[in-house]
Amino acid sequence: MKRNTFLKQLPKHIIIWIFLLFTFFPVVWTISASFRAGGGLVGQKLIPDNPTLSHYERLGEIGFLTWIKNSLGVSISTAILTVFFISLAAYAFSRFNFWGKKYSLITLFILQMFPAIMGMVAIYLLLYHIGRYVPFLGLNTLSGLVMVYLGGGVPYNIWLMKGFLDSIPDSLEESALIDGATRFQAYYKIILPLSTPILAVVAITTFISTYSEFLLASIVLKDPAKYTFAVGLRNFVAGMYDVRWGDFAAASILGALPIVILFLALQNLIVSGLTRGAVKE
Amino acid sequence: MNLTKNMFLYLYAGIIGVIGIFFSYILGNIAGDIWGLLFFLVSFLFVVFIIHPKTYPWRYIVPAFTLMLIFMIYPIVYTIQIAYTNYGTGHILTKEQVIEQLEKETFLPENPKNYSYAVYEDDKGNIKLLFKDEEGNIYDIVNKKMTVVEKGEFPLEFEHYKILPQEKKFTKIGNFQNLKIPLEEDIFLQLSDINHFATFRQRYKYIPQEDAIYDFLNNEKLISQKGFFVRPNGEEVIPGFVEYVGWENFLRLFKDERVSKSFLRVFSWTFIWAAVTTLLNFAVGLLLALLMNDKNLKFKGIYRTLLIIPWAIPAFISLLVWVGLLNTEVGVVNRILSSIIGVKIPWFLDTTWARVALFLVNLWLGYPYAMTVCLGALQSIPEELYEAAKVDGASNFHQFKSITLPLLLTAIGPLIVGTFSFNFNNFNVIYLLTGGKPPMSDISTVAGTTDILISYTYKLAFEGGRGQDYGLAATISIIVFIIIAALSIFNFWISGTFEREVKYE
Repeated sequence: MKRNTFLKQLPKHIIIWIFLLFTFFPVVWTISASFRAGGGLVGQKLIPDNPTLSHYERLGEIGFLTWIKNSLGVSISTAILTVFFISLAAYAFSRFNFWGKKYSLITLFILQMFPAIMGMVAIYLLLYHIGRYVPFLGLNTLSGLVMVYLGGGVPYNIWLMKGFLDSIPDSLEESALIDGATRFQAYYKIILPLSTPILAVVAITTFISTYSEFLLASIVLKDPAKYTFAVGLRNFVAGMYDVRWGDFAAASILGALPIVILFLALQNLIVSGLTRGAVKE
Repeated sequence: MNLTKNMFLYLYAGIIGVIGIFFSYILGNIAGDIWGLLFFLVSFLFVVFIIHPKTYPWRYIVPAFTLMLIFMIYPIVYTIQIAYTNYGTGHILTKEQVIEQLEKETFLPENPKNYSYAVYEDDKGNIKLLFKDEEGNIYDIVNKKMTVVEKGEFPLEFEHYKILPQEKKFTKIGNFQNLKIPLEEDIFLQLSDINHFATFRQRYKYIPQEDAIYDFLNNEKLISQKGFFVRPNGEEVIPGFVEYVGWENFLRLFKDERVSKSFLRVFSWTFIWAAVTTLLNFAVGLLLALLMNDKNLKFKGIYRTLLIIPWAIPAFISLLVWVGLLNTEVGVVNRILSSIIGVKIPWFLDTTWARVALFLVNLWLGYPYAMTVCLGALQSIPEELYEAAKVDGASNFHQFKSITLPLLLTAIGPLIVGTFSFNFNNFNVIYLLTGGKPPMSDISTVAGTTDILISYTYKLAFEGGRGQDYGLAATISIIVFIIIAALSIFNFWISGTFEREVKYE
């Protein structure tokens, strides 16, 4: 009986296996390239002849550590600041009725449709001008880049977090307010701890999307010492696949690994955040 | 307690106020005083909101909104503004700056007065010049006037300055090369040769009433036209300036042959690209979701985790890897293909194959998302519906057609439209995989045959072979804005999301 169902399911397994092959094709070849002696694309075999760690050992020389340091700096600060600003704003939108609420919400709703990259020309010119007065927020600075990411994420994340906060009953806060807590105390002593899951979703999705962002970073950052991983890796390998394939593969694997692990470990949390609306109600 | 609380409040309001004033100034400088003023008013409103007890909730919102105003809304507004200008290489400065720069230019008139000069220095190293004309009058310059101070030879000492000997004089000459000593009536004393200063005249003068510049060297009037000052013979004076050009950029997209041909191709390919890749991804995603939506399927959890991996890897890394794998000469894909069927596919050299490569790679990147949302939607379809259908004797295919598909499409329809919008603007895939290549062979343009609007915009603004064209780039951005907005409105309309979210959330 059991054998029978497996046989019946065999076609399904075969189709899935074909897609698994497709999925793992680039992954496997990259891993193999990273352990292969010699740098180029030419004559690569799936199982390298003389496996070596030399590509990994050279990562420091090609600037990999600088890129990762910059990327982590930008992504972590963007994630933390986003959570800080967004949780405050989302709380107000979820809990109060006030002048301008409706129109603010509509504005946010419309704005969340526009990716920040459509204003890239203006962002470039804006940072150029800001930099003439405040050098640390200008072009070619990581903090300027963080500001751009922060501003661009506001509308979507406010809606995302507001949706979650709305599901926390008012009664919890009300009892605290009766006991003499101020509004702000009610916010950070009651609402914030209860909303940890959504804070985590916002922080992690912001972290991952910032880490993976290429376009704005490549516009803002010009100095190789400031490159994030995306910009650095691309400029390192573009047009140089013939000689840098091995080093590139090693950098790719180490650079992708933390994100892949984070994503897979928290996949349910992240997927629910990213596909909001799909399975609603 | 109350006092510290109030202090915090005022400190907070003060910080927002300072940021507001600062950015009003910057925005005013970049985009014009109107925008500066507008931003100032908004930040003033924010400060009032913070302090006034009745608008208490705004205290929570202002920081996020300030960031959003500066780094998101403002760039959108500014993009719209740039689209109506000729901003770009050759037109970077404002008109005022160009006039200022031109008015600094001088020329040597036909009968200049020549002066020899002597250099004096005091103990602190300050330098002073005295001038001598052909009659032997020695002049000092006071308040733009040449005043006679001596006759005959240069004195050895003047006030507290001492004359420099001839050989030391020439070591200082570097300081005088660009020196323009203004005199009255737009005349300047400038070094004409190593031993002489001469009276130079200011070359250009702006006439505000006529919005023209007069050139005293050629005695001609330069009129301001299309971002340049133009001589009567049609020659344009470099540099040009930023100027409003009305709808010209929009017209160029359709009427100017050099732009319109490539734009229309890019435009239609963008739609084809977004539609095909979205449908392909969802078709594959749905197929996999249907296979996995089976409680009895073995290894279901493992399969799901493994199939989701392309989603977990940052896209730019996967894209760069694919570029290597698809390399025409030595890439792994072509080596495998040539050993099996003996063909090497020119992935990035031929338009059709480059497009196939884009669809394939974006399928790899995108099917996990499609699969996940399809799976979620499938699982939310109530089991009872199928049981009822079975009781009524419906076939598997019939169940799929009448229950699964309609319910699935209502659930994921808006997400398909959303994915379409996403791919419409999927800069990373295009730029990192093909870079828009191969180039359009029959037109001279920065656009390649696989460029989509957003990557075309990027190239125009940041990579133009013949310089940057911010104006045109911004114009294309606006067209993208409009399409995306239309799609989103359509999306709300079919899903009713907007009403639901604003009303009930």
